[in-house]
Amino acid sequence: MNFCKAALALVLVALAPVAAYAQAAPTDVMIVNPPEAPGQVVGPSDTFPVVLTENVAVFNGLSGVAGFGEVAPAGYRLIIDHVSLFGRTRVGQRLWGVVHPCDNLKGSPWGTTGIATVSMIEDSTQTNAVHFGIADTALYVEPGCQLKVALQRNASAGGFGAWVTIHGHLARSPD
Amino acid sequence: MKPAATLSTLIFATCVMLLRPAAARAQTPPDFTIANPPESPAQVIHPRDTFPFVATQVVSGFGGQLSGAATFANLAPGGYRVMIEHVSIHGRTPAGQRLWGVVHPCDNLKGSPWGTTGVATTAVIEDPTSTNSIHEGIANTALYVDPGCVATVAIQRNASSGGFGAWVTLHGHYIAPHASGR
Repeated sequence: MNFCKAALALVLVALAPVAAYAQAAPTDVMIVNPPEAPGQVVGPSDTFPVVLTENVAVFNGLSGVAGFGEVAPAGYRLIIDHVSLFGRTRVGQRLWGVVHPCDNLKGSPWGTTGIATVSMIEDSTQTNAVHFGIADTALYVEPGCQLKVALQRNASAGGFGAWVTIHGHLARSPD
Repeated sequence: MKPAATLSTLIFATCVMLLRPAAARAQTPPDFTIANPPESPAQVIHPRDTFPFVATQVVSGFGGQLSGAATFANLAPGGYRVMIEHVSIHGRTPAGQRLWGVVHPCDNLKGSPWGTTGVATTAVIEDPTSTNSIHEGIANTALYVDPGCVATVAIQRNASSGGFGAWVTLHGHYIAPHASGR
């Protein structure tokens, strides 16, 4: 009989921490690392990086669009850290971009951001110019948003092409 | 079975049960909420500071050459990713020319044009005789390179007379990834 009591008591002791653990709410803790021994942390820009590139090519028109579609998966936001533009036109023309993160859900002009470019003549025959621009941004895109970057130039002679790259990361939505 | 042996068996079995939940707890860290107030923030550090990464390649070309490439192979060791925060160019050409770069982070594995990013430069006459120009540019990026990627930065100028040279530097940090990038 004593054996049974002892065994029962031990089993109860064994199960108690499991039940207590399962019901435990998050505990508040203070991080007390001193400056010379800081805690190691990592952000979502390192664990969920996103790089997306779209090529736009237009013949004899003034504008084009880099359409990235729906780039944020359910439960996440895409945080856009930079938008870069590398393009080519005929010499004498200027080319630029305008970011529209979510016109379809949030309406225009929410998030409208221009990308200025620097132009350089590409060749010694002065036929083409290349255009470079990077905008440092803190835009974001939620699930369902249709991310677009509109490209425009100031003359329509000849064709133009551009590579548009989104540099960013996914971050879990808080809700 | 003797009573003493039964007791030993029971105690042993119970000890095993006692230890099992402890092992399970060890594999699943408990949840905590960081509760530091604004006046006593947590001291933390980011891989940007603990695993900084800088790599530089020199590109040079002789008269007649319009372009070159800075090739960065085997940047990311196994189990790590290199996050590229900035790409800088410092170059020199004969005066009157322009020079620029285009980053291709991983054409060999991810295909072109994934990550294609141009690096514009500003040209400055280098000497009072107006012989050479230097070209300075830096692009702020959030590109990344996984193991096996060969990162290249194509360097181009707009005239081929005289030689040219450029130093291309990748500025970033290592990270041990816990998830796949896109």
